[in-house]
Amino acid sequence: MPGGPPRAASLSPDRFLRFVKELVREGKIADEVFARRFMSALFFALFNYWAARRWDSGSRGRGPRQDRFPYTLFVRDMLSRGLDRPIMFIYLRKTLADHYVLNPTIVRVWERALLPSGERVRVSLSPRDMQIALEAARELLKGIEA
Amino acid sequence: MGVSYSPAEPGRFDTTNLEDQPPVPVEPDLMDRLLPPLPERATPEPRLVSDVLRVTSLRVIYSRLSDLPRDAVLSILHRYGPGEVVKRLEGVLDLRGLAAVLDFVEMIYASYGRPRLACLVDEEEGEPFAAVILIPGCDWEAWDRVARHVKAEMRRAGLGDLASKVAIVCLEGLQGPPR
Repeated sequence: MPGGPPRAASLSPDRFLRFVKELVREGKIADEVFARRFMSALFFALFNYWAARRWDSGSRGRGPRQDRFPYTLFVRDMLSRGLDRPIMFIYLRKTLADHYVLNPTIVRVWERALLPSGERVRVSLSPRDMQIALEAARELLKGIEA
Repeated sequence: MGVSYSPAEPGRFDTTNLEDQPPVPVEPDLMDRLLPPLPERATPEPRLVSDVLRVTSLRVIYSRLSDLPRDAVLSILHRYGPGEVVKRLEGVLDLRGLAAVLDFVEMIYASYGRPRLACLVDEEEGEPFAAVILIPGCDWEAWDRVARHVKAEMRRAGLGDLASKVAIVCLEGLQGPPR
């Protein structure tokens, strides 16, 4: 089994979360490009840290060094802990940010979900969502470290 | 220890021959005074398994669903989502467990409206990896409470593995907390 030095300490997202929070507080999320990139980065910072902790605990993934973990496993782990609200809030917006042009739009992750009226569920990404996402990210971080 | 029996004396109340006895006077408000008032009850809404079984435990609902044939389980799931979604989820998770959770959510959180079923698709692989239980009239605050309660109930029912493959999503909560 491939070994190596512990990785979690190097990949802790704590400072990054504080950095983004400061940018949001100072109104430096200038446009939608900033919002999209930071939303995506929030998700992957948490995911990397979660995977590093798994690695440090002896769990192995795929790839030549067995250090690649699917992000779907990360989402599932958060769901199993009852953290549905924070993970879904961030995951849906990260998907919009990375893969879709329109905002709001209908993301494929649940394209078949219909509202009682027969309409499809839309997801949007707004400056306000960044603040909410930061709080959600803190919740997830707490869950990862629990 | 023996039990002795002696017939009632003339004029005393005797349960052996009720027809021959004079009626006992009863005060008209006796029942009102002795019994507490009945609580007002909401009109029951027709539901599926929970109405038949009269249970509130996910464990019991799941246990009873385990006895149903596959077609019956599928017909329960079709009440909540399109057949295509159910078909895609078949290789991902335990459909009986999912049906039980949907019925449990509808029973406990009926005031939010009937839950709907969708699937979470891995954007890179194009494959579903979890089910979504979408609750219509449930806001940001309720979302966290409902999700944690349902997941705790799933673990208690022995459905811990399924808990990682089901996402509870509150439609109104998707917009975040109230402004």
